[in-house]
Amino acid sequence: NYRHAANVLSIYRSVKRLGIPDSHIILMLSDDMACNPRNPRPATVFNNENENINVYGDDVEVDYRGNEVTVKNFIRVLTGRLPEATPHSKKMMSDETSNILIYMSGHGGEGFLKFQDSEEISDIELADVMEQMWQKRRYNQILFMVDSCQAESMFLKFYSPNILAVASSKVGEDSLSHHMDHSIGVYVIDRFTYYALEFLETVDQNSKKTIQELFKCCPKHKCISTVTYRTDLFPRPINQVLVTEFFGNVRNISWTPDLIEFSFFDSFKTN
Amino acid sequence: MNQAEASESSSEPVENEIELVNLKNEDQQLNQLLIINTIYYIVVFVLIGLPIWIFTTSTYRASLPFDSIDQLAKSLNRIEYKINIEIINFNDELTADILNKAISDLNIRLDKDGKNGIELQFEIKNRVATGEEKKLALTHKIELLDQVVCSDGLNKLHMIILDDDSAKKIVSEDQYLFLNCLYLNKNLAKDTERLSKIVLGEFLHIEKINEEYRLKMDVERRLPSKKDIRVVNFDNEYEVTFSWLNERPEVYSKWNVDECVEKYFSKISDKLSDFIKISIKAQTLLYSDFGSYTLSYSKLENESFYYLRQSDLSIMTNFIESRLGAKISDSSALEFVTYLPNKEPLYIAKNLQNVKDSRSVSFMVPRWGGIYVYNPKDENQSDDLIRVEKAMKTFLTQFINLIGIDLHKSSKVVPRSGIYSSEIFGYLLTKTLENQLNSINTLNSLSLLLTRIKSMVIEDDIAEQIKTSVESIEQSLSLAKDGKIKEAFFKSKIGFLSSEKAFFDKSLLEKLYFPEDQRFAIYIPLFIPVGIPLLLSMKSVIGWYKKQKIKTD
Repeated sequence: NYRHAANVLSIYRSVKRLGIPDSHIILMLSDDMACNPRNPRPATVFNNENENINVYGDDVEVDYRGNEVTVKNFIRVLTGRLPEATPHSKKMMSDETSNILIYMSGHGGEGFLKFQDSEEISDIELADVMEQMWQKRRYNQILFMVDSCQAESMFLKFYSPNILAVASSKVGEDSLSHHMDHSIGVYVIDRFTYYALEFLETVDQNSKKTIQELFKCCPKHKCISTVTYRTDLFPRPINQVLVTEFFGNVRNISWTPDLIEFSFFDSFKTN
Repeated sequence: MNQAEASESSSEPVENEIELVNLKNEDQQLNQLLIINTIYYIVVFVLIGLPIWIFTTSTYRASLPFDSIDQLAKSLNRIEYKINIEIINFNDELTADILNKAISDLNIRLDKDGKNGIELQFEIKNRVATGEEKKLALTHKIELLDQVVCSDGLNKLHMIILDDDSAKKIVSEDQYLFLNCLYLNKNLAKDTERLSKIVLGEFLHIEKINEEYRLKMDVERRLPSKKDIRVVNFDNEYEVTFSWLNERPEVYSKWNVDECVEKYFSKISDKLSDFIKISIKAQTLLYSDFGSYTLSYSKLENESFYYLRQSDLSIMTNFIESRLGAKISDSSALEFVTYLPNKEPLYIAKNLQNVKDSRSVSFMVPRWGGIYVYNPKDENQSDDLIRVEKAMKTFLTQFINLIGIDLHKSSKVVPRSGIYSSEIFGYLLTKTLENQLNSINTLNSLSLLLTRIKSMVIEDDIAEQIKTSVESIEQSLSLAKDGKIKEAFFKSKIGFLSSEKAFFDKSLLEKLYFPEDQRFAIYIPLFIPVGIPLLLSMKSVIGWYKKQKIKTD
């Protein structure tokens, strides 16, 4: 749906704004909204009825679009089992020092999330994939966010360490969308993502805000569904984990050490 | 008439009896036929049908050396490396007994301190310098001595105890000189405590090695604070790209990168080419289009230069990176960018309290590369060709850091002509251990995965890769135990690359195997309609068999 695309693109923009480069982001989008014949604003996707930010604007790098967004490819990206000729932009080159943020949005039910109208990923598969990543030391910490109906069911079966998970609704509840844009005619964003984005707007690269604040960004009267989270697999308490550990930049600039003087430097005379 | 009727009527019961008996016999024969038919069906079902079902629904699994992988995983608890040290005595005043005593003392210290992670064994040999070597030493041409004496390969540390004269000139009091060999004076040779610290710290980088070992063995995988995450992960091939981001192409149009690469960079990358492949590329980019991002320059009131803050640098790197085309290649990439800005002179302020004195023109990005800001005014620019010698020197230092080679302290006596074999030895030692640990972990998790999912297909080439990896790692471990670190490195490289290739093969996806429930689901419509009647008729077969037994008894 339109709002699922808007959800994902908005989170993508937030993450880029906070300093994560495209080489470290894998964006999987069905990409059928911006140029959809029913879209009255062609080549745009808005996440707000004010239509002030086109989240599908310049500088959006979609790594997997259309038919490539399948459960198989998703699992391939996470476990790293891609064909050899895949370019680096489509691979997740993570190792034991990487913190990974996984954000998923779509239609879901108890124990599954729908991919593109024809297939679904189950909670058991996802839990097994997480375990494979742990075994191969492909991550240090994972933050798993999912915005769909009965989203809690997607992370209940996880059993690998160092994973934090948050979902927009409990099992048995539906996640609701936020508001409709009457000129486009569809709901443009979901509640949980809307309030999460609102919170992320207040975060910058040096922010000390914690994950606990992020998890509590959408209380029941705002989200209507209950935002649930899981912290038992994580060694530290969530009020000590910074949001910027997952959403912030990856580059710690260091200064060049003292220049090494080689004897052959003098052999070449400059003008 | 009555007699005929009577005879007829009397024959009828007889005929009826005969018919009854005949019918009974026929019945029995029919019954027998039916039973034999049923037995035939059951036999075909069991002997032909079931095997066909089993063979067509089982997945192909090439045989794997699970036992060897278990052995390797166990061997992680105790990794032994042997280090060969050869001491060459040039000093006549240092007698053999004093030297031998010092050596045994050194051996004891090294053995004790070298067992906090991996276990290091030391083999220390000593000999007296030959006449020729002594003559060379008297000339005080240390580079020549270095080349002649330390030329027998990488697997040894040579320690040279200089005679008092040379020592005064080359190695002043209490100091040492670490080139290809380690040069000491006789006092330091007797100070075994300090000597062992030098060997363990500067030559073997024992802290780094033990941290790596502890990280890999820690079940909770707590990242140690000392892990140097600036260094790129080990790879067989590195692609180094020199890019020139030129914002003033109307004035400057050429750069002399090929000269600089040849004169400076290749000297180092060629020396390393025995061990890792380095390919070098260069490109020019004009008018950096950073999209919606504009570099936030700052300017102090009374100063005439612009500067960037440290907090802006990572975002600047992100936008530069998006223009570099680094995503195309397959191997690990290192990017070195020379940035010629629009507003010049442009510096980077290391310290915002004192911008003027803390200006810099370059910075390093961990695991990525480095950026050098080229200000034509500072570089005495005269024409449209920019000369990047200074940039190249900076990039060379950054490159050596990023690859992970630790260099000895620079010496004022002997200018450095390249990377010393003792430094390469340190690099090989670290990387060999890293590769061995990574491969064993990968193989272990692969074997866990494959035993857990019994129906995942394992093709022949994956099995080959795994076998190659296991053999190479086993050989690498035994070579390292034997002291042949260089050969162990090459084997560990093969082991590491094949284990990664096998683990990340695209056919090892769970969704591709024959799911357990499909095994039955496909064949049930075939087996049930035939199977159930057969099962039920088993009852009558057993009944008939029992009857036959009673008859024959």
